[in-house]
Amino acid sequence: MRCDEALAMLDDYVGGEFEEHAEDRLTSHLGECEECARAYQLVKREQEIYSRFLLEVEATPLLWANLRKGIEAEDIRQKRKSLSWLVEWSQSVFPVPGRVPVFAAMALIVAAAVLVWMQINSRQQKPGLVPDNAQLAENRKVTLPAEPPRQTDTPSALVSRREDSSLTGSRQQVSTRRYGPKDRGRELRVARTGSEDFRAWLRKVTTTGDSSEQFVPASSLVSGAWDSEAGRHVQKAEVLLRSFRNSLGVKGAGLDVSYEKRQSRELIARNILLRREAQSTGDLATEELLSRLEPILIDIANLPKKTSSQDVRQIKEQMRREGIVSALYFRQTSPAVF
Amino acid sequence: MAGQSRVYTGTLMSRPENLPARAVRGDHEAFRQIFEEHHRSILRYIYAMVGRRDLAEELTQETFMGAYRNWGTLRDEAKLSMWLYGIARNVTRKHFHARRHEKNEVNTEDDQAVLAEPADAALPPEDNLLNHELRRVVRDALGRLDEDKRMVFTLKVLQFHSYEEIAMISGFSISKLKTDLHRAKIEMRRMIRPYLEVSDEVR
Repeated sequence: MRCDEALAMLDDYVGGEFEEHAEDRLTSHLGECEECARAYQLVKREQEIYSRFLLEVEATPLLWANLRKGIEAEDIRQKRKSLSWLVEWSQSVFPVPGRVPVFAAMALIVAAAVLVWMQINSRQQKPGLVPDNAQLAENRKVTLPAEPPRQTDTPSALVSRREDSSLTGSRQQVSTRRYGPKDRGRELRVARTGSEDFRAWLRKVTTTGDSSEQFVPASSLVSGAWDSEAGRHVQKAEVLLRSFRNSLGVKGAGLDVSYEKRQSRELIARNILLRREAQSTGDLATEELLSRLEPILIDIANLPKKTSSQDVRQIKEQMRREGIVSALYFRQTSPAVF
Repeated sequence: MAGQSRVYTGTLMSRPENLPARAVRGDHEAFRQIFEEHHRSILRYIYAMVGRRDLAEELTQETFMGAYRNWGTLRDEAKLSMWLYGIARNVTRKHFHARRHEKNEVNTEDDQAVLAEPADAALPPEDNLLNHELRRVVRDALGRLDEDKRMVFTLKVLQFHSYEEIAMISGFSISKLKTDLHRAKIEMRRMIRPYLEVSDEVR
């Protein structure tokens, strides 16, 4: 081994990162070469100095003492940070030094929470105090005509429903109720289909006068039930409409129709109750008939005091379009098909 | 052997692997145990980097405070030591950056502190004096190295870490570390060798 090779290996040899296969060659060279052996001793001496350089460096007791103070202060700082919003808010509300503002703010928050809870609890116990949207909407609808006097001979079921009934003031609202998007889903589709079938059948009967073919609704939801209350109502309506239609030809414009108006108002209230009853029981044919009747009754009830021929002619045209008189007639003569 | 293996596994599991987790939960005793185990090596590393004991203690305290605040960033508890060294390195770099106008050199005003260290009773007075003088020379020589060379020289020569560990602490490649270490040794030798030869002649 040459001296330059040996000198280059000394650092690794002293540092313990020496390749074993070269160790024998190096040690034999160091044994033979005095110059390299002296260099080796200097490197070893350096390493000893380096090794001892840090050994005497020890921490003072102050290091842990200060560090412990530091971590305790850090803990407090973290806790304060998590509650800083409460402290800032409380000190702004209660400008008093110390912790008094924090306690006062916490007491305020608890009191507010208790009040809110009591308020909610009282509302739950008295739901009538807060009208819901349906009630408000129903109240807004009440306009004209005024509700007629109640009849004492109505069935109990109808009486119970009369409590929440109200009269719609315009024909547009009634139409909306009939054809609007209030009812959705399968039942509405069936009802419309039944209405269209019934209208087609009714149109055929009224145009040809052939009532031998009975209407058979496609939907099984159509009820066959027919009570005397509805029968009497339809009969009264038919009589009223016939009277109204016939009177037109004789009396003409400018005649007094106060009797028809009064009768119409009475029938409107009952018509609404019966229509809702039919709707709730799934009697779609009756509902359809009463829905067509209702706007006509409202129009008659809303006729001005001095009725013009134009007003009467419009209602007459509407009755003709709807075929309402014939429908009412057939409703009484063939109740079983409904 | 099987029994030994079980004992060895049990020892590993009961060793302070859970200390960082406990420290995260605010266990001050766990933190104190971690401090007891690691503070000496961290303090010595920082002392070698800055050359002043009071400053080294201050920066060691800052290092452990940084660890206390950032336990959540410790991904591998087995590498806790390397993680602490990484924080210490950042702390010292931050210190040097704040005092960059002072040329990052070891403060020679620490002579009094060095001389105040207890003397080795086993050595004759002239040897103690010589040791103090050599320590001052080594510290001054370290202070003249640039920061990267001082770091690798400290960790490799003074504290016997492997290149892999130093690479983990510093983020440098091993080849760069070897190059820096080689140059650092040459520079240190150039500054220390005259004193070393004189001391040998005195002996």
